[in-house]
Amino acid sequence: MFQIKFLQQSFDELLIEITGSASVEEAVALDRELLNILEAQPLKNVKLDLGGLDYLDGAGIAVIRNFVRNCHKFSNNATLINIPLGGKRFLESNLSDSHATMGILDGIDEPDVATQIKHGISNLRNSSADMITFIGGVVDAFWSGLRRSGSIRWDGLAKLFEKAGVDAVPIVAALGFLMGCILAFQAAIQLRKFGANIFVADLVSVSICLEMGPLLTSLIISGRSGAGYAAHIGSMQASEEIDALRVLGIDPILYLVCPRIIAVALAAPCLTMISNIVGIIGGCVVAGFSLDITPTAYFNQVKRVLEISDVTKGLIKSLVFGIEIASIGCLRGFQVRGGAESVGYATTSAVVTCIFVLTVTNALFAVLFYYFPRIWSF
Amino acid sequence: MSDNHYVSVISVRNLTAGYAGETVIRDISFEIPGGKIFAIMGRSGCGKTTLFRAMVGLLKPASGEIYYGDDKMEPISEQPKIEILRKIGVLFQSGALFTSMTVAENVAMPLTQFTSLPQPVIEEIVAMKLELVGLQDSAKKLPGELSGGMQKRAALARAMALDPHILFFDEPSAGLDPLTSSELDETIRSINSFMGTTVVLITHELRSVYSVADSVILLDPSEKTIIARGRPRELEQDVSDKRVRDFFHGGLN
Repeated sequence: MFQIKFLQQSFDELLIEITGSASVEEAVALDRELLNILEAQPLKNVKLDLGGLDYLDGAGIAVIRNFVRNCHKFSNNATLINIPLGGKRFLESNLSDSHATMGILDGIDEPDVATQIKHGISNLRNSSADMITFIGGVVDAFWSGLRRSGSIRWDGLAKLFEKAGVDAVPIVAALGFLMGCILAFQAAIQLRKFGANIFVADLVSVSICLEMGPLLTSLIISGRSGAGYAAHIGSMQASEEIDALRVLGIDPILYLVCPRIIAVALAAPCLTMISNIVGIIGGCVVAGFSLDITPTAYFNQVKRVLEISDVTKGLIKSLVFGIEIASIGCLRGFQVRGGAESVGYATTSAVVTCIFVLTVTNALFAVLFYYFPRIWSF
Repeated sequence: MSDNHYVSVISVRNLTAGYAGETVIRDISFEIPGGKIFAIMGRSGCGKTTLFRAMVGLLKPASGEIYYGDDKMEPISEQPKIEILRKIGVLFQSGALFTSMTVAENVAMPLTQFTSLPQPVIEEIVAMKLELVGLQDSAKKLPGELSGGMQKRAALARAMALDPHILFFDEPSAGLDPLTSSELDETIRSINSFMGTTVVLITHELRSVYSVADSVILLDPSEKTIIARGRPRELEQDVSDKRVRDFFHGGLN
């Protein structure tokens, strides 16, 4: 409990005596009372006598400091007298300078737009530099690896291929099948209007083999292997395992990255092929149910319209996508600086970058195939 | 001939290094005598980890040189100096065991990497090293199955696999209870006395330093250089520099 007594000493001077206890229990009431006093009578000079306080804690000190700051805001002069021992440190300092404490809970200061743009450009430059250095390192590693054939670790390759390829078959098959069904279903709605039902086979088989198969499969691989490699290598980076490799004279890129790139480059076309087959079958199932097309008719149409070049173009795309995914996943892993949070960031960043790069590469391939359609039919 | 030459001395000359434009250590020079236990000490942020990384080739210094005998150490990112790397063993702060390999495979790594010894010989060496650190029953375990102290011992076995001339210990007592820590000190002492291995300790643990170190350099974060060097007990008595006093007496004066 506290008591406030005030004495008007002269027409613009006020002496406020606080007695009793100024602790966290009384802080809210004390703060309000002091503010009322200030608002009720604008004054030139306020003296706060704290000699009667028998208990003063941090909250009480903070309320008094706040009061003094408010006095200064109203252009009043506030002085404290008879400050108890426990309050000396924070109540004797020049409180008009304590405006520095205002706003400390406001969160991080966002830099202005110009600085943000500057940071953005320098980040872009650094990450491009990282990527180019990494690509150089990978090419160099492969080059030296091929010359000294003992140095690429072929023994781990089977395990990596199993993880990247074989383990992904169920999900690729399931999603491929569903995609074939969805494509056929949507196609059916439109083609029925023209009585052109049989062309559902054309649409499903060509678009799956050329575009949807490679892209969907690669997106699945990004989520599984791209993120996985980023997490694995990132954790190794965080726990100094990469440093330990270097100190043993082992090139981490040759040891970790090259086998992974080879594994995914081999796995991706295989998975794409599975996705293609299963997708065409999915299309057949839907075509049977909603367009009354018999499987025989469907597959005859597929055979008629699907060219080998359509399939090979798709497989080449998925090979390139696979190389990109593994490279990006490993690069993000090496870029980890710090602990778990950094590893988490690297993992999501790997997937996002993969999606972006895959989309751009796909577009480039579309242009390439348009201008050189015949090269791909072997 | 540096092939048969016992790489017994490390010579650091005018080394300046840091990260991303910020200098952490400036113009540092010192020599590490062969066969002794040498400690690099300092408060947090003094640059001892930076110095350590530069010495083992993980960090490219801004300027200065590091010599192992007559061989100049190049940073690993450029052209790894295999002759130097095979003569040093490193025990990282967290052990840094390869988590996808068993303990025995970890210990065998330097052997398969730097030598062309036949498999049975490698297995013998691995078994011997594991017995030296008391982990002979954990040979087939994965690092994740070991306690922190055991992981450090396994990492020590790996660092010692090739009986290196020089062993680096980065904060060996970090994460260890005092008992295990003094056992590790004892191990360091016996490696040094039985095999004449030069030991470089990067630490801030005074107890260990008094217990094992022959000589010490003290780094300072604001000076960014060596502020004291000598025997640990000598530096403890030295009253001339306040920072040295504060470090050796824990700020109690």
